[in-house]
Amino acid sequence: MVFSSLLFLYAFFPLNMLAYRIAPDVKAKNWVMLVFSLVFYAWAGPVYVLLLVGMTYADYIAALWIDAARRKSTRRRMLFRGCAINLGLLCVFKYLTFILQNFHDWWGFPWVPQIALPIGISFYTFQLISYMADVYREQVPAQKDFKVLLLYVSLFHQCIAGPIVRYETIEKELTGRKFRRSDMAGGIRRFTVGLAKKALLSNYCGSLADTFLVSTSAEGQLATILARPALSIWLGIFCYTLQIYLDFSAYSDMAIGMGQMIGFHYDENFNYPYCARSIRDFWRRWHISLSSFFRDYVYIPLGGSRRSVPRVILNLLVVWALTGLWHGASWNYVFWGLYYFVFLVLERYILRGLPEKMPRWLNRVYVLGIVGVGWLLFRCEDMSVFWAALRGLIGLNGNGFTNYETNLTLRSNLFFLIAAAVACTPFVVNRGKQLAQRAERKKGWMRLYQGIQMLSPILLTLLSTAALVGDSYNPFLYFRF
Amino acid sequence: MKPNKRKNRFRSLPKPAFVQTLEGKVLDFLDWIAPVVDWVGDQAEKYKAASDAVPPPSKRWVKRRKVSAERLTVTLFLLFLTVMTVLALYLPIRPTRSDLENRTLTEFPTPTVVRVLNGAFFDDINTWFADTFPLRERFLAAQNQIESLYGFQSHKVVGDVTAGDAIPETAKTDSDTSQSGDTEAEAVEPAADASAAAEADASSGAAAEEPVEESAEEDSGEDDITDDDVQTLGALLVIKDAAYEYYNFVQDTADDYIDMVNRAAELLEGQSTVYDLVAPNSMDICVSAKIRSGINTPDQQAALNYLYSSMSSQVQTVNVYDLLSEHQAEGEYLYFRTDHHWTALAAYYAYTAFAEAAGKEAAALESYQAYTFEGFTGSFYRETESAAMLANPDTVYAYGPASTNTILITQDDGSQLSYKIISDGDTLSASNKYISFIGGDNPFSAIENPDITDGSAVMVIKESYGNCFVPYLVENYQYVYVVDYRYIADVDSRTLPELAADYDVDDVVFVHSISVTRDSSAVSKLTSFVG
Repeated sequence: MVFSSLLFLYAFFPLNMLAYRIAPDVKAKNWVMLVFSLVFYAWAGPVYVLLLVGMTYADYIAALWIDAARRKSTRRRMLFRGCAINLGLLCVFKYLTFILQNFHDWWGFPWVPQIALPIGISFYTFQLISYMADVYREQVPAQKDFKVLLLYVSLFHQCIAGPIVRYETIEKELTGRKFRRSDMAGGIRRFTVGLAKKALLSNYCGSLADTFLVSTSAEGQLATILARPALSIWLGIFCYTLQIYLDFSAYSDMAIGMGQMIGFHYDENFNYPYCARSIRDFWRRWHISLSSFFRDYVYIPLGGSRRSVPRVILNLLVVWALTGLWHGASWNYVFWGLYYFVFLVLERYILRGLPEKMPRWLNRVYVLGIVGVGWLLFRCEDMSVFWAALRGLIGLNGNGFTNYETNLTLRSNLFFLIAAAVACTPFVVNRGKQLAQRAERKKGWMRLYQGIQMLSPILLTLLSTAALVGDSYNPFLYFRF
Repeated sequence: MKPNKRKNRFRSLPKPAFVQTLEGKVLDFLDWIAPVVDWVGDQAEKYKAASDAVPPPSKRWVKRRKVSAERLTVTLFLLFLTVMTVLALYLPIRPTRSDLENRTLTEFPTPTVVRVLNGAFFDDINTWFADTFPLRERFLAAQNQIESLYGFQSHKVVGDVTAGDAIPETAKTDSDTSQSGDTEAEAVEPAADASAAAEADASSGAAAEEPVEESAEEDSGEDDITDDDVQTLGALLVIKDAAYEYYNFVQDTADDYIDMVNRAAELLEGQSTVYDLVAPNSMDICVSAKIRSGINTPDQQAALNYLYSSMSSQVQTVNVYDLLSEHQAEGEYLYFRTDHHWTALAAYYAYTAFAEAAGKEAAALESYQAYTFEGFTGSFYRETESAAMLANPDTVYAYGPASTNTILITQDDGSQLSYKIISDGDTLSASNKYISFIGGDNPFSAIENPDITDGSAVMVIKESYGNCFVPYLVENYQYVYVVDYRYIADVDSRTLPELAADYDVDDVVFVHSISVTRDSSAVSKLTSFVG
């Protein structure tokens, strides 16, 4: 099940809220959340619930042992064992097919099994690792109650599409959280904004990206991309860039909003990444929970930036290769990670602070250009399609700058594209803040502001419903994660 | 500020007359608008003064407002969610059929152990829940309205335009039935300036064939074309209230089609004469050459020339491209705007061309019984859900033979049904009015003209394009047999030569839309029917 499905919106979620409301105390409420979360997870294939529960149980025991052990070496050993189980299972379910396939391509053996990827495994594996590492570092005590830990891992808000919530962030709220009406109202607004971003903007951006480039599920992608004029590819990258941010941040918005409704406060996962001033800045704003995970649990343990230059570069290389690989078991994701590695090293040692000093427009061109081509690489699992698109981008495929269909599709979606681009910036939020300030001073503004606040969740949900009812295109982008 | 007093370093140059007039006009306009500007400024100042006079709300008021607003936000939203959930979970109001899309909506899935364990069952529940959502059509219409605001949408492209093959300028030389045309295609023109073409999923969601695939030899696509009146539509160009289907040339499929017709003529030699009539679609006939030259759809005339010139001399080819273009230039109504078929009028002109080729005298259009069925919104509407099309639907003008209106239909299940050649289109739903011709697509049908007794017989091999063509033939033959090659195998295992011999057919006419020659599934069905 995904948040942007009608079944979730009009059956699962209301029933969950109702049961949660009826449950008398935190303990009962936690049971409600746990049962609903397991059902939610089971919706994608009931057998994988066993994997989720089993992995959590193994780590539950490991963390208890770490906590109980006195000697540092024992603690360390327990941590390694716990992580080995997690990463081992992650490798088997996510990477084994890929590894064996590559092996097979080079040497012609062995047989390659087709293993289905359990949904969300990358997210919850990382949550468990961060939990064990934090227990090891004595930042948090080990959780004594298995079902509370299971609730943390399986909580449907963030289990399958992030954000990667740290255990310490919600440790206290897991066993004692307060209901505040302001939280409820804020959560509702946040959730509906996320829903609208996904249902109204992201899905349509995705279908436009398919129209301008070529559908990633179509056969004969190469021939089609070779026939596309330059503008079509530019616009396709633009639409995909919009889609991937709107989609991903929409899931985070919905997760944060739903958490807020019942008193969980997750950290922000995106901070307008397309307004970044450098590539480094971009990664401080994009999927923050993932980049901070790699920073805290890989980069810093490796020595971070306090080592010699070659060693720092090596550390960065490891982090970015892993970041790429985390996004999917395919070479293009690895290349995508390394692509960022190159630019980050470049910015760190050669460009230094130059990007920030550029004039604003040049700065935008620099960041969005690199990010956009990065998304193209991210999108094309077939490298020949990527190269063809890259050549087409500068008109090397001999199809001219544009053609009738491209102009037509651009014209007929012009306002939509402008709206979607604006939605990637803080423009609307800033206008809202302005209005809020005025509202403090004038009754008329206050009425308008609060009217919008009250009615917008309903309006957005209705519009999203209309979009979802007839929607043939509602992809779940993270099935590879 | 008069222009002649202004300091101007071009002062020495005399100003052209038009600049002087223009300046005068601008100044006049400024004079004219000045009071209005002043008035607006005054009002704004007055309003500002008035609103400054009102004291800002007290802190307590603001706080109270905020609390009540939050309470209302929560209450209103939860109320809304409750109402929607009750609606969504109250099963009796769920729709089971969509007339708009002309399909039965998804049914609740039946669980099996495997499908439950691998999660497919739950996926199906998701699909069912969304597909049969209450007020479905209302929501769809609303969504349509919203999407019409996305840009300037008088023209647009629906579906994905993908690349096709280049059309060779010379005829296919190798007529060996087992050969595909790969080699010639590559020899004639490299793929570099490939005229791109169109491809999209059928409205029914049937598997799309891939024109760019080099080896489009086989096709298992049993479910490619199954439903009445559901065809594999290519991408559509939508201009206001009309749509036009992209055509793309697919070398392999076109060559298979040519081989199929040649083989039919070879097998039927001495028994029947084979005629081949491939109708262009509205993209070429109705859209101006100026627009067409800018888009990725190749010239259908060139494709027809390639097809016909590659056919053996035993095949009587009927080219209606120029004929239809001429009549289109006269402003006649030859293609539906909201549907992919041609009109009965276009089919009549095609019939006259056929009659000429067959050496028969074409009956006058006036001699047929005319019918008018208004309010037709066909497959293009279904695909685009364009509000402009809905507001301006097509009209079906049908022409039935004067001699008889009875057709004997063999249905899918093999049962026979005596039906009307032209049935009452007013009783059919808006999306199905084309079915008023010969009862839609049926495996086999027969018409007997009681006024002719010479034993002459014609067999039409067709898909739905042939439906409005068939009635005209009744005036020239005692027996008209109609075979829909897509379904004939379901009820009759005989091949074309066997059928032609058994029914003692004089003329065999293939009537197709040009789209068939790029549809490998259709061509493979034709090929297996020909035997």
